[in-house]
Amino acid sequence: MILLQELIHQTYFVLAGLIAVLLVTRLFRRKSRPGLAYDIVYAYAIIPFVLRALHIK
Amino acid sequence: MNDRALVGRRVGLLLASLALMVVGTKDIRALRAYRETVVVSEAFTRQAPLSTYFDGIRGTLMDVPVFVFDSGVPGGSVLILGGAHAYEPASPVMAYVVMENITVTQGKVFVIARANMSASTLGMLGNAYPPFFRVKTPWGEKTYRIGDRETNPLEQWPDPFTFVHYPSAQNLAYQDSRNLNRTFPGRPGGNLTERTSFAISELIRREQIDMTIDVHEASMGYPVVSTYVCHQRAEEMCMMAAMILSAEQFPMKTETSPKSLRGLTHREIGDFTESFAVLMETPEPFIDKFVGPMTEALMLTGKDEFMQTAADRGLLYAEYDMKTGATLDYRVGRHLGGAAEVIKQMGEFYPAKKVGVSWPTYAAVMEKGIGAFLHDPAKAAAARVFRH
Amino acid sequence: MSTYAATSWTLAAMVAAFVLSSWRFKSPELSMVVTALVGALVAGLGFPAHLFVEGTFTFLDLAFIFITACIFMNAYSEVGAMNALVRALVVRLHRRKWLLLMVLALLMLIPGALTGAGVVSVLVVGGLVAAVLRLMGLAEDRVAAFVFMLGILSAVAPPINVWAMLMAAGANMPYVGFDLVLLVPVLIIAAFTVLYLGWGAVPQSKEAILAGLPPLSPKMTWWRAAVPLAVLLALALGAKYAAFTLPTIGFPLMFLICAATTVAIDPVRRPVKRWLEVVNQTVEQVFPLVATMVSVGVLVNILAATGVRGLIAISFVALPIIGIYATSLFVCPLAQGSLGFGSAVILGTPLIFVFNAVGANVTVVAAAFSMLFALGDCLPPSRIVGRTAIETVGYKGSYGSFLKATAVPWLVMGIVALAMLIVPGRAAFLVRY
Repeated sequence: MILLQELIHQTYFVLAGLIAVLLVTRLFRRKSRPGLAYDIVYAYAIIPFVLRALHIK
Repeated sequence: MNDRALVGRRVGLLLASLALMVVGTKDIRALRAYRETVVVSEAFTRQAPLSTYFDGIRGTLMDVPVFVFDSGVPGGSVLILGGAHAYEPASPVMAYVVMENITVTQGKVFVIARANMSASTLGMLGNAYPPFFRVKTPWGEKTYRIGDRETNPLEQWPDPFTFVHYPSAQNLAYQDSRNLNRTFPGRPGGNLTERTSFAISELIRREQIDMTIDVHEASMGYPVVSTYVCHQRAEEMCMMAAMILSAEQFPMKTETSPKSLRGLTHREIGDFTESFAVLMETPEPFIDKFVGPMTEALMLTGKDEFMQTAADRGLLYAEYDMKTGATLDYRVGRHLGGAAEVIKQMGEFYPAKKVGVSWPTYAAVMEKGIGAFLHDPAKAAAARVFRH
Repeated sequence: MSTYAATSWTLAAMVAAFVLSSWRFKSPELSMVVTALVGALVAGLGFPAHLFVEGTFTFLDLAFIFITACIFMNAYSEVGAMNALVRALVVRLHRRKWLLLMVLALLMLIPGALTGAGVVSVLVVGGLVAAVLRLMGLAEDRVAAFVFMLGILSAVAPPINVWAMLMAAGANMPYVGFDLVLLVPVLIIAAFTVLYLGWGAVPQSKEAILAGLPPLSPKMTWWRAAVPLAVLLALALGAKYAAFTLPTIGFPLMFLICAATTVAIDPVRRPVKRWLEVVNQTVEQVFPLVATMVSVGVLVNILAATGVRGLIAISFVALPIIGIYATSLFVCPLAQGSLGFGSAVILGTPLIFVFNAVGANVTVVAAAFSMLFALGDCLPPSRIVGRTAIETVGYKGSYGSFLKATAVPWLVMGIVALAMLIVPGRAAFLVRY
């Protein structure tokens, strides 16, 4: 059970990384909300996903 | 804007975001990496990792050292549990002051200063706590971490949508799955916080600890502030100790642990071990939600205008005057006095469980400040210095 | 300068910054962050890089839920399962409009009741419910209002009510005795909402409706379509009732498991490339919500750091009881709009003690406050359930017109909650242990 729980725990870090990658892709290749405001929002919205994936916070 | 300029802008913003990550995580990384130092007193006998009592936490951040101060003279035993909630700083500091100054003439004392080590490496989300606070000593400043109430998600993630307490099956809020004081008596196959609770319960059972004192701080708008909360088996000792403290030192109340409130040390340790379970709460304005700017000064002094308004409106459950606040010295002093008195009462009620112990008194701390009782690691013998 | 004066000045600057940046940027997310930065600057904190980065984590788990739940639901629509279920409901219950609407209301209540998150109800069944409501003749604004109201009611409904749990935990009360005192008002308000929003709606004929729906995918039967939802239900029930034998999976992974199940039941084997497109579209679609979570977290962190949070909290809880009655219907929802579940900790717990001191039944009081907080899920700055509802149902009107359509059931819910707050003794018979 503990091993399985640890596996799930690590899966979530991978998931955070995948979401970060998806968000970065959308920063460059999105179809909706193309303006500067959402460029800025995309750029900072990746912060928690990257830092979580890197086990920093 | 042409495509090239657009890509350039986006790359620039991405780089700015990365720079923000680097700069903005300086304190976050420092909090995670920083280790507190403690210079244990000459009464120190040995230390053992908590995993000695339950292997299921070995190799994790929760595998904290248990410090033992054994007189070698038959008597009772006490466990002081500090830092179950890492955002209540007087709790680990009280444990450190005990470890640095304790003398034991009968029985033995076990101390865990950072029961939830993981929580102490995390800033409390949405509460803007400063990561560290510093205590002035005659030889310089000593720095301590201010952590979170719950285990760091880096160690335990995800949360369930509701936390089902073991073994009662009572439903608690989801984040309580990472709250050490909601996961007792613990579950060997459970999450990391539950396993840590189980390890502590095992320590208490195997070492036949007579009294467990779980040290906390409470918001002043919480009725059990300045209170002993005791399992029913420890009720009389707590009542007597509170009476004596209120008459001689500082106001102290007592409350019996509610039977329907599960997961807390004062309920589960009392129910699932032979130990007398006692929890102490001291007034801590810093953790109230209706205080002003969250600063290190507020944590150290407890002086706050909004808190005075709350006191004037009768919303607080402890006396409060903004001029004196509720300083760290006062809070740590209360815990030192509170623990000493209830241990003394155990000896009065049960002479075979007497523990002969002393550490700085409430009066001494109020007079000299806790800094006077923290020793310089640079001048201490290496065998007595521990990083924590 | 006194703390009152300093924090009031910061608050005024933040309000002005929010208004100006909302007008300038047309992005509520960016406006929140600009507001936070202005607040920090005015309060003398400079550029708060640490608080900024830390704040982005405040509601990170909710952001994960949004993304994964939407991936599941978009996959579900992609394989034609949503269409199959809508068709099945229309065929079976078309002639019984009120029964159908009640069934849809109950369907909305279940996910949120089991999980404590109204957003989950909206994301998981909101799209399906909206599709059927539209066919039953409800106007677009009413469809959005229906999904929103049932969404927030589902979060209030037992067994999991996170606000009540947080208040109970803060007040050292066990979370027991809440089931009926939450369920009865929720059912009453849900019934009213169905009647109010469904009144006057004239369904098209069954044949016209079915003709207007996309053609049923080959081999996509209603029972095949039900499999992913059954998996979700089983995982949720397992997490609650078999918590000691199952590992903690967490919502995001639950939704991804359901998304994988959806891919598995797809009768037409779509290529991986198509699924990647679905995921990319989903991320773009759900991004405003994710960004809101990240941005509001920054704002909340700065509100705490500057003491503005404390100013707002003390100004409310220090009111006399009569003042709390008079302002609860505004202050509690607004607190929810900015603090999310934090509202229950910051305002709810102190208020439980205030009401306890006057001898009120605190279980009823906590239930009432949980309803008042839930109302704030359509209010700025976060507007979580409100925005999710209009995104999910694809409402094209203004946010103001959505709020207008919601106003009457919203007020009725507020009045019921206030009544419970003012005379909690009358509802005390519903507190059963």
